[in-house]
Amino acid sequence: MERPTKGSVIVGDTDLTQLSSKQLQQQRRRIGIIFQHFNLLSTATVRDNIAFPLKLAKTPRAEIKARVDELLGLVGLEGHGDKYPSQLSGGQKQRVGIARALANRPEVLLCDEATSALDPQTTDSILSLLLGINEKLGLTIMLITHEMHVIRTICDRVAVIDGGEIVEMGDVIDVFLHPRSDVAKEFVAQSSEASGESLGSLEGMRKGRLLRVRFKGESTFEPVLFEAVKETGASFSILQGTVSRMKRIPYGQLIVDIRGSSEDVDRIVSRLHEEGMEAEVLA
Amino acid sequence: MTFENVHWDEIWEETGHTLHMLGLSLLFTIILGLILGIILFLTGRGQLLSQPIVYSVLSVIVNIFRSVPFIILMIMIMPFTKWLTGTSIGVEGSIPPLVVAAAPFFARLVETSLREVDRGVIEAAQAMGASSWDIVRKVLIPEARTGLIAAVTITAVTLVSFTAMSGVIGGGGLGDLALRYGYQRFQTDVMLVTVVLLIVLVQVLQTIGDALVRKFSRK
Repeated sequence: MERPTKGSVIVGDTDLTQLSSKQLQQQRRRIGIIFQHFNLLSTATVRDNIAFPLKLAKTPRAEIKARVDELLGLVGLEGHGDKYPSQLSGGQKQRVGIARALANRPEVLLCDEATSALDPQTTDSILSLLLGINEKLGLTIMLITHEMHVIRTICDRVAVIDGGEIVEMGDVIDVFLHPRSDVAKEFVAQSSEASGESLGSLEGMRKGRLLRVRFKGESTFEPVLFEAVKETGASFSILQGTVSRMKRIPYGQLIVDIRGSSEDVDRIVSRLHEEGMEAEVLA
Repeated sequence: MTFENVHWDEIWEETGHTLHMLGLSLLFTIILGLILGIILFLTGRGQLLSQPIVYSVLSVIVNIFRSVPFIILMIMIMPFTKWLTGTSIGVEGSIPPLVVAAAPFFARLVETSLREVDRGVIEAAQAMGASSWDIVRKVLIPEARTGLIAAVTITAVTLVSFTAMSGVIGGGGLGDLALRYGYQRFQTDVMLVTVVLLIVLVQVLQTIGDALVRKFSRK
């Protein structure tokens, strides 16, 4: 839509910045976009909105009808085909947006703050729809958002952008558990369900040594920490913690107060490391 | 009051002339004004085909035609009218000045209605690979249709008053009748009848316009 001032935009093998406007117009059909404010034609029915990109691509009429029926089913809007956008809820409008974006069988689906205008429940239903499409159609989805919950729910990889620069990039679980840049740390802290108390105030509460334990995958469900502490005869209390999942991967992060000798703490830490967890003495 | 001077056959004949002038001039005004309005919109700053120089030139021309009072414009363009239609009087001779006066007015209304179209929708169409022509036909005109219908209504009503004025140069129609009998011969009854007919005409046009806007509104 906008010519970048520098850099390149490569989709598949094509560098979009090198194309003429005519070629670019063609290439845009390989990319589906859904928008924060849906941007549907208010004077066209749901059916006609979904058919719009197909008509632009000069698809035969019979094929358009079949494709629109298929898409209506895919996004769960059977029976709403003849309604106008103003008769739909926000979530339904976004479903129309998704169906429209998928109409030309794009290689990439670009979601520009696609759930930012929706309430939390609707957001979740749209996200599960997107995840389903991603898995069923094997389509790459690129999602722009400021909602950490969205990233945790459906993304595999994440890039953090600050002031126009990518400051951090990696698998979602790694970035969430080990944010390196300040922006990422801030975002993760905001989204962490166990936030609220700073480390400083936790230090005031401790009676032994403060230990941070992070784990992911199957070990989440094993009594690893308990076993490790039990072996030493020390005891512990959990001061703060999160156990959740990112997409399908379970993970957890706990801050525990270990009451025991410093040898005990060392043994616990190395035991946890053996189990593939991360443990770090904070205070 | 008696209506002794009113010759109804003449009244109906001139009503027919008024409708004839109105119909033809409205048709040409819509065609020319729509094209001009779309060009004004597209070349406007920050729009699809942003061309500030083209826009400024067109804008000044439109403003010039809109600032000349119709009665003067009508006389000014008489040579052009004569060249185009072979006459500068009668129903035919009044159509060119009517169109020249109303098209720029309608073009501005079209430009304003098109600006009301949600930019996001235009952007979405671009993202789906629509050309500017696709956007005009499949996005701008359908999305702005209620505004455009309202613009046609306003223009039609304005044209009714213009047709009445064209009576001055012998354009025919109800205005001509009112002027010749009502003003020049002090036949107030004729004037009254023609004015009432003009009012009815305007009411009918406005009612049809409003009904169409309601029918096509999807908000």
